[in-house]
Amino acid sequence: MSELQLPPSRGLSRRRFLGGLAGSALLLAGCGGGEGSSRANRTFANEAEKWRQYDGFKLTFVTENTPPSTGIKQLVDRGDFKNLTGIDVEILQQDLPVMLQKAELDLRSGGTTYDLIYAQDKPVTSVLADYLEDLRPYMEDDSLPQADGGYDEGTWYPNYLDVASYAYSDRLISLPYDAADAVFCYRRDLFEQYAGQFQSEFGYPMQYGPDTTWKNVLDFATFFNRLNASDPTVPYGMGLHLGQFAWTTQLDVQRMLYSHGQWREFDIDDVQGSKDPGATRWGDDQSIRGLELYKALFDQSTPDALSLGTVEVADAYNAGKIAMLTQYHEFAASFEDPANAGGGGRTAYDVCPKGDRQYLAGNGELVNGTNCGIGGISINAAASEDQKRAAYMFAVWATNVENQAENLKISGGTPTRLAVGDRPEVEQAQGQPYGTGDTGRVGPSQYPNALTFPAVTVGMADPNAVLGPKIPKFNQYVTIVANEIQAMCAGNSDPEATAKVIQSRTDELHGA
Amino acid sequence: MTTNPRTGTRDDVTQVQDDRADVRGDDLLPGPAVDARDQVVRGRGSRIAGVVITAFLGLYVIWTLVPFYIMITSSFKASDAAFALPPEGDWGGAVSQLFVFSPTTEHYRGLFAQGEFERYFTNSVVAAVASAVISVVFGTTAAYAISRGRFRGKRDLYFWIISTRMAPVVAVTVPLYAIFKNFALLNTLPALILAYTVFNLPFAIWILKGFFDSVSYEIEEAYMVDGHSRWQALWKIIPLVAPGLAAVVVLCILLAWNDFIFAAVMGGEAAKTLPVATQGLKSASGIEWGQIMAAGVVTVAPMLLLGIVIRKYMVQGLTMGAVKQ
Amino acid sequence: MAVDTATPGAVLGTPRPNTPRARRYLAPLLLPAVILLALLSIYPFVWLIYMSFHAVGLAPGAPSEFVGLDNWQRMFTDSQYWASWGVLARYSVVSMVLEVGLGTLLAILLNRSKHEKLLITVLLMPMMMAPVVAGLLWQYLYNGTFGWYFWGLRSVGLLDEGTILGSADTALWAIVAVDVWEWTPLVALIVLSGLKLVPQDQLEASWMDGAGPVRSFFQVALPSIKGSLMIAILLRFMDNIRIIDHFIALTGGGPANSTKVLPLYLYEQSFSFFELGYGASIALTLLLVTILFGKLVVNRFEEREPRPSKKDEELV
Repeated sequence: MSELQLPPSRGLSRRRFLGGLAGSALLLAGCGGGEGSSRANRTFANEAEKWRQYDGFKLTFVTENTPPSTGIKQLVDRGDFKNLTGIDVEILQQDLPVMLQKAELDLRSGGTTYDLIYAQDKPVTSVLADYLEDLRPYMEDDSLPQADGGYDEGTWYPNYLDVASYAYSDRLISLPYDAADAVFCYRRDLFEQYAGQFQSEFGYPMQYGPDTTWKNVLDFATFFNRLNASDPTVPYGMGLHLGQFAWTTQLDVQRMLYSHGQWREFDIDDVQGSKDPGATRWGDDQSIRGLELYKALFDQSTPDALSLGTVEVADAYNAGKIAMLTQYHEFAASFEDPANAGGGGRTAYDVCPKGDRQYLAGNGELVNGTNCGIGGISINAAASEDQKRAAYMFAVWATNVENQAENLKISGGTPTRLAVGDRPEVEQAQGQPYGTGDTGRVGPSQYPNALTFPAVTVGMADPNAVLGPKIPKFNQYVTIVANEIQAMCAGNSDPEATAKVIQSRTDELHGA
Repeated sequence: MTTNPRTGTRDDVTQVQDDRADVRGDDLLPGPAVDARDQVVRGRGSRIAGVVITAFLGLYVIWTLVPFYIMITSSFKASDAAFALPPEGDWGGAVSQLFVFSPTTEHYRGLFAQGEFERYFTNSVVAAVASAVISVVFGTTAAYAISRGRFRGKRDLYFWIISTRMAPVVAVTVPLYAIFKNFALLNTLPALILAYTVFNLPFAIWILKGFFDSVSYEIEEAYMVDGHSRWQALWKIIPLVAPGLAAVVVLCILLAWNDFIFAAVMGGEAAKTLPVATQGLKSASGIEWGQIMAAGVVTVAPMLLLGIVIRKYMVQGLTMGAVKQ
Repeated sequence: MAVDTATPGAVLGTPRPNTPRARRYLAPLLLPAVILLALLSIYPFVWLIYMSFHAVGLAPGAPSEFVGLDNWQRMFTDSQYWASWGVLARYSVVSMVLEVGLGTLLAILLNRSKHEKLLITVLLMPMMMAPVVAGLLWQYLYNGTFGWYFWGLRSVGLLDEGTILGSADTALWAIVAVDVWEWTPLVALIVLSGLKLVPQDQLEASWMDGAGPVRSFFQVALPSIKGSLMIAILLRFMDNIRIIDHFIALTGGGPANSTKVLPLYLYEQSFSFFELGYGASIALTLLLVTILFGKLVVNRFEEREPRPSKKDEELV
C-alpha cells in the first residue's frame, strides 16, 4: 500500500483518539480499571499467560451471517482461539435485521445473553451506543494482551475507525471487524465490445475511471438499455439497491447525493453523529436534483429494479442481466466465480462515480461519493468485569492482522487492517497500484476481494467517504427514505415531492 | 350422515352416537353412494361438463402441487448453475430443467453438518409437543367440566376462551414479551411453550368440549352407580374421546410447529425453531435457495405425515370445530 | 358429516350434574385451565392497556414513563396507520372473494367426484406448511432471476415489465395468490361439509328438472351452505389479521409500503423500532376489531343452540 497516495486523514479524529487515550489513563488511575476483576492489574510472566487468564470461560458473540463472520467462525471452530486462550466462543449468525432485533432486545433490557455484539456502524452502533463498553481502558491495560498492529487510526483502512468506533461521544465502543464498502463494478468485456458504437452515438469513449461522472454512467446505462431493446441478450444498464432492506436503499441514494457538493442528510458531525440531529437537509435543491438523477438511472435500470435488493441485484448481475452496478466489495468473491454468466474475470472494479456538474445545485465540490457499513466488534457493557475482559481478548484476536489475513484467505473476508493488503500475495492479487494506467481491476485471483482494495482505499478516504448519519432513530429514518424513494421509482410521485415528503416525515420523526 | 340434532330435522340420539362411535371409519366425508354421483353427471349426458370438471380439478391439483414439486426438486439441485432458468419462452428447456438433473444431497448435508439444525429440530419438537400436552391435559378437564356443568356465565366464559384463540399473534407478542422479560423467561423453550399454550389451550377446550358433548352422560352415570367416583368415571369415558384427544394433540403440534413470530421474537438462539432457522438462511451477502428449500422440506415433511394420520379430523380442527365429521 | 353451527359436538339432551355436590367436582376440573388461560391472556391484556399510555422503557433502571394519550393521539394522526388499515382491507377483501369463489366451485365439484378422498388429501397439503416457509417458497417462485413462476408469466406474456414482488401494483396481489394457494382448500372443505347437508335427492331432482347447475346451485344448495360460507369468511378475515408470516417472508411491507398491512406495521413499530407503547395502542385497536369478528363467529356457532332457560341458570 506504500505507493498509494492516501489523502490526509482527519486530524480531528486522531486528536480525539489520542485525547481519549489520555482520558482513559486518568480513568484508570482513578478507579483501577478493573474493579470486580480478580485478574486486573496482575502481572503475567509472558504473553501466553496473559492470553490464558480466562481459561474455561465462555463467550457468546452475536453477528451477521456474512462471509467475514463465517470465516471467523471457521477459525474458532478449528480451535484457533480455544488453543490460545482456553475460552469457548459461541458465534451466533443471523440476518442483520434479526441480529439487530436480538441484540437490541438483550442490550436495552440490561441482559447479558451476548458478551460480544457485531456493531454494524449505523443500524446497530448508532442505535445501541449507550449499551456498548468503552474499550479505551482495556487498550491501556497491561494485564490484557493487545493487538500487534496497535489501534492507531493509520493501522486500519481509511476512516474505518471513525465509522465503526464512535457515536455521540469520545468513547471508543467498537473495533473495526469487517467492512462493506461501495465500489463500482462493471462488465469490462462489454465496455470493450461496444466502445466504438458508444463513441459514435455519444461522442466520447465508453471508459470508466476516477473522473467518470454519474451523468456518464447514466449515458452508459441508456446505451445498454437501447441495445437491450433490440437484442435481449445484451444486459440492462444499471443495477440499483431498491429491494427489501431499507438501509441499502438509503446508501444507494446517499453516495450519489454526496458526490454532488458532499451533500449530507443532517447538519451534524459525520463521525460522532448526534442524538438530536435537528432538521434534515432533505427537501433542498441538491436533494431534489439528486433524486432526479436517481430516477433517471432507475429508468435505465432493469425493469424489475424495484424488487432487487443488494443480494438480488448481485444475483441478476451474476446471471448476466445487468452491465454495471455499485456493490459492496465483499461481493467480488461471487462476481469472480467463473460459473456465473456475468462473472469470472469479466468484472472490473473501481471507485464510485464522481458527481456531475449538471446535477450540482450551487457550487460545492464534486467527489467520488462512497459509503460503507463497517462492522465493529463491541462488548456488552452490562456483562461482568471478567466476561468483558475475556470478550476484549476475543475482539483483539478477531481484528488482528494475522486473523484478518487468514479470514480473507479462507472465506472471502473483508479485512479492516491495512497491513493485510501489504502482504505480498494479497498485494499481488490487487493488480496494479491505483492511479497507474488502467484503473479498473480484473481477476482471476486467489483473493477475489483483494481486487477491490485499491478502489476501497481511495473511495473510503477523504474527500470521498460519507460516514454518517449516526442518529438514534437511524432505522426509522432509512425506512422513511427507502419507502419514499420506492414510491418515486414506482411513479407515484416526482423527485421534488419525494424530497419534501422525506423532509417532513424525518423532521416529524425528530420533532424538528 | 347426520344433521345437527338441535335443528331437529332428523336423526335421533342413538344415530348420533353411532356416528360418533364409528370414529375408526376412514371415510372422511361419508356421502351418498359413489355410483349415484356419477349418474348425475352421465345422466345429463353432458360429457363436456364432465371433461371441464375433470380439467378444472386437474388444474387445481397441479396448482396446489407445483410449489411442492419445485421445493423438493430444488432442494436436491446442486449449484446455482442448476438454478438458472432457460431463456424466456423456451418450454423445452424448461421441461428438461425441471425434470432432468442429477440429484445431490449436499444442501441437506450442509444443513445438518455445519449448523445446529438438529438442535432447531429438537427445539421445534419440544416446544410443540410440550405445549400440546399441557393444552390437552388442562383442556380435557376444562372441556369436560364445561360440557357437563351448568353454571352462570357459561356463555361468557365460552366467548372469552374462543376469543383468546382468535387474538392477533403480534398483539399478544407485545405484552407477553414484556412479561416474559420480567420473569427472565426470554430466549427459553418454556417461554415458547407458554406462548403456544395461549392459543392451544382454548383451542383444545373448544374442540374437546364438542367430543364430550357427544358422549352420553348415562355412561358416566352408570359407572357412578357402580360405585366409581366422578374422577374415575371421567377416566372411564376417556377412551370414547380418545380419537378427539389424538386429533387435538396433532393440531396443537401443527399450530406450534408452524409458528414464526413468537419464536422469532422470544425464542433467541437457545430456543430457535425450524421456521425461524429457515428464514435465517437468508443473508445480506447471498441467498442459498437450495439450502432454504431443503430446510423447507425438513420443516414441512413431519407435518404432512401427521396431517395424513389425522386427516379425518384435520378439517374439523382447522375450522375450530365449525365443521366436523 | 355435519355442519355444526352451534358448538362443536352434538349436545345431547342428557341430564347434567346441577347439584351443589356435582359442582364441587367441576371447579377443580375447570379452574386449572381457566387460571392458566387468565394468566396468559387477561394479564397480558391489562399490560397492553398499561403500555398504551406509556413510553415503555426496556431497561431495568429506566421505568416506563406515563405519556397520557400521546400514543393514541399519534395513532389517529399517523397516516401510515390508516393506510395500513386500507392495505389490510384490500388484501382481505380480494383474497376473500377469490377464496370463496374458487372454494365453493371446488366444493361443488368435489361433492360429485369419485376421487373425493384423494383430492382432499392433496388439498390439505398447503395448509400443513408453515406460513413463513410458504412465503419463502413463493418468494423463490417469484424471484426475477431464479423463479419459475416469474419465468412462466414472462414466457406466456402476462408480465411485461418489472417483477412480481418489485412493483407496488402487483406485490399485494402476489401475496394474495399465496394466501389463495394455502387457504382456498379450507374454504372448499367448509363449504363441502355444508353441501353434504343438502339432501342429494333434492339436488338431483333439481338437476333432472332441467334447472341446470347454476340455478340448482342458487335455489337448492346456496341456502343450505350460507351458514358455512359465513363461518369460512369470518375465519379467514380473522386469520388475515392474526398471521403476517407471508408478508414478513415475501416483501417485509414493501415496495413503498404497498404491502404494509396493519399487523405488520405493528410488528415493525414494536420489534424493529421498539416503540412498544405505540405498538400497544395499535395492538389494542386490532384486538378490538378481532373481538368483534370473534363475536360474530361465536354467534354463528351458537345461533341455533337454544339459550339455556332461566330455570336452568337459577339452579346454579
